[in-house]
Amino acid sequence: MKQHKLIQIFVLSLFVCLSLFLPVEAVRGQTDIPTDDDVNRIAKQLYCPVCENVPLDECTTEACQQWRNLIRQQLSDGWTEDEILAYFVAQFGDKVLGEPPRRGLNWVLYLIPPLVILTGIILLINRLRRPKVDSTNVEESDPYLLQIEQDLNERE
Amino acid sequence: MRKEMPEKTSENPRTKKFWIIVSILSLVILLVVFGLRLFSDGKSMLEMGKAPEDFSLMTFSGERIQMGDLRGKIVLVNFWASWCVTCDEEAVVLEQAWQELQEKAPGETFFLGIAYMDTEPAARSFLEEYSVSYPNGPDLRGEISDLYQVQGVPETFILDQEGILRSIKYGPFLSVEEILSLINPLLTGQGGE
Repeated sequence: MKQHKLIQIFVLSLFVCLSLFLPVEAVRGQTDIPTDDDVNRIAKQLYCPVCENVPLDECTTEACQQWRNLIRQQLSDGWTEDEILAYFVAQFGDKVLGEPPRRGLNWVLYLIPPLVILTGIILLINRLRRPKVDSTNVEESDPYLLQIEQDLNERE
Repeated sequence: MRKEMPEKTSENPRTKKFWIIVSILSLVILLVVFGLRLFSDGKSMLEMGKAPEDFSLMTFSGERIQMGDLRGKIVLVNFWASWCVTCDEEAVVLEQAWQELQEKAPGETFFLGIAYMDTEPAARSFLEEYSVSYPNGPDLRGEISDLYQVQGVPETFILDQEGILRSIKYGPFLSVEEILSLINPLLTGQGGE
């Protein structure tokens, strides 16, 4: 009798547990549908194939709409962000990327700006470290003039 | 008695020389890098009366087409896209011309459609919707459109039996007659310069 009751409790708790999991699964299923934000997160890393300098997430052309639809489809199919970007590069080339890939000669694009800034900083530091020449009192600070003045004084 | 003059330190000529060398070297490196980039493409300019560079295309049906293998045929290369407003009407006209030429001069002409910056599902449904029967394929990485310096779609290039570019049509063909007026002279051997 006691054993029978235990089985009843076990089955009941099993149902309770299952009923707790079911809605969770249903909600999880709903979240698998990619939102506009999910699509745009990837779309903003790509550029419109037909218009100049327009990110895919802002573009209103039919071509861009198709691309966004494809991204949505790929997200629904479980593709990762990297996989989707790689697909677009394979299909349409590097030019669709908002950021040029860090390889080959593209490195020049990434290296030149910091190098220019660094050179500027070095030049600025060099300039600031030089002793300041007071233009109103050149005679006192310029060793040439001081020397000449001293020589002239000695002659007199 | 002559006194030694102190060395002028405000402008160090060695430092100045160093920076001049650095600037010149940077400029040379930049020019070399951009020059390399420019010439590494190795693509020649598209010119009328000259043969464009060879390319191969994997069609949507999985067939590989090598342009070089089409010598001896008049080849029409049409760049299109499913999102292009005027491409749908042109697709109908091109298909009609293709059918007509297949009957009139079988094996003497070849039409090749290239989907420009198009997604595969959209391109496939476009071809199905307009019952396009000549070979079509995607322009992977935009390499073929770069080669043909395509500005927009639709754009069509007609090459003669020697693979020499004979005409370029910017915008859509509006009638079958318009297409045939460019192909017929080549069929009769009158299209050359």
